[in-house]
Amino acid sequence: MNPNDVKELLDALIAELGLPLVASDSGPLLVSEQWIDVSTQSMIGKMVEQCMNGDSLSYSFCVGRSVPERDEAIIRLAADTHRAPEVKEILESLVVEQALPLRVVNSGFQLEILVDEGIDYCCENMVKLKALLEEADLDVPVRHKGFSLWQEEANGAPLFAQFETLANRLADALKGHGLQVRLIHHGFELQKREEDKVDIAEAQELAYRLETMVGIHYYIQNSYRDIKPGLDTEIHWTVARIATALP
Amino acid sequence: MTPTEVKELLKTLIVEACLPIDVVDMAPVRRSGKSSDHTTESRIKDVIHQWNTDGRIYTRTPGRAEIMKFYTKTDAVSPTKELLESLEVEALLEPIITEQKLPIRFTDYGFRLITLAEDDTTRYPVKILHGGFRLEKRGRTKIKPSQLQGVANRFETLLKENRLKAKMLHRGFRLERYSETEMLISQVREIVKQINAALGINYVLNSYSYPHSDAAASETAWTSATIRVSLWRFPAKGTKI
Repeated sequence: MNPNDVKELLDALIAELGLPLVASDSGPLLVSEQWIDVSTQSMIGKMVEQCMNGDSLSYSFCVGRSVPERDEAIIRLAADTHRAPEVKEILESLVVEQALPLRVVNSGFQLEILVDEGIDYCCENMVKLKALLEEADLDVPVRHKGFSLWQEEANGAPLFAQFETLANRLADALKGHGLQVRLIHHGFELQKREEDKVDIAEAQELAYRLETMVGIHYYIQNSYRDIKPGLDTEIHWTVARIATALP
Repeated sequence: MTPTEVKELLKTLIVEACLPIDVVDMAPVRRSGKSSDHTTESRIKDVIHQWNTDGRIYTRTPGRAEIMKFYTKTDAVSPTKELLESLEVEALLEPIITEQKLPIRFTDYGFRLITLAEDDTTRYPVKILHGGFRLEKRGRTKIKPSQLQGVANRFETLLKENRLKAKMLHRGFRLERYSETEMLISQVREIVKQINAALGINYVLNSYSYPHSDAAASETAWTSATIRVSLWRFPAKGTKI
């Protein structure tokens, strides 16, 4: 099976279960144990562009770990996914405690596909990319990043159990193909109105306290989308993403 | 008791003891990158790990496992050890700076406070105070650590009565150069050595900064420095002193 086959299967399962979800292909993942400098990253980016034939250009890097090390970290992180609902409650309680005008929103989930040894799991684009990397003498293994699960707008938020059911059904379907499925929680978003002044340090502190309490690694990604020019983005930010990090 | 109530308890005891000290709340500071204070955060993880004797808290060993076996840990038993210790460090810093006429002033980075309620049966009994706090002496009063010893003892007794574990972790001091007078960064290292020798704490020069990113990294160009307890709180196991 290749990632396109898995995506079709996933879409079929979402339809069968009647879930208000959209799955998107996260594209190739370039795994490098060594640090990749900016110019090499940009060169690889151009190679990805060349291979994708106008398909989604989504791709990502995992730097500082080998493929087996990353797989191991994914398995460890996935073991904490079932805690996402209670961790959200904790985060909400921290927001209330500080009386901050913030809304906590679930960032969705990722389905990671781990590949058993000896199994070839790649699509045509990835094969082309591997060839280009080899030509450029770059020793960067190419894997598939998996699939992001997003909530369909205007529909009610799916329950965590529904994500779990979907992941389990997909895992059952892929069992005989040397592919394993892991459900990973993306984390949370802290959302606020632009006019509410909250220093980004407050969001960072909440993320830090949450990590200390629950023992899952998080990092903050700010979002300055559509902020009026002239406003201090560190105060008038609208979304701070508390993203889960590999252990 | 929440961490805020624990902080308020300390405040009350200081007032009852008529000590001229204010407990001042500290707002969170912006972090650049992953963390603004990696050392304290790692020490907090270490304390939580030590508290987790029955495995009821979700925690991971701080640092790399192969290093941890050589690591003599932060004292997780005494809530106020670093409260008194920071006063001792401060009491040492003041005369060193005055006697040597060093062009530096220092500020206290304050404390982080973590708590663990023994009666909390949830999987998340560890809590951390938002921001943190520091002690501020009123006027030019000098406070000896011994003056705070009574407060610390009473505080620890009350925590025990409330079946609460707590730990204050001191975040160190910021030293700032206020004149163009030449001062080598090695002189700060020397101050740190004096603290180590006098108090037996593994204190370190944690970081120092330059005025501009393109400034020549000369030994005299530093503008501010942070000194604090090392992640390696005590000398490593087997190290001869």
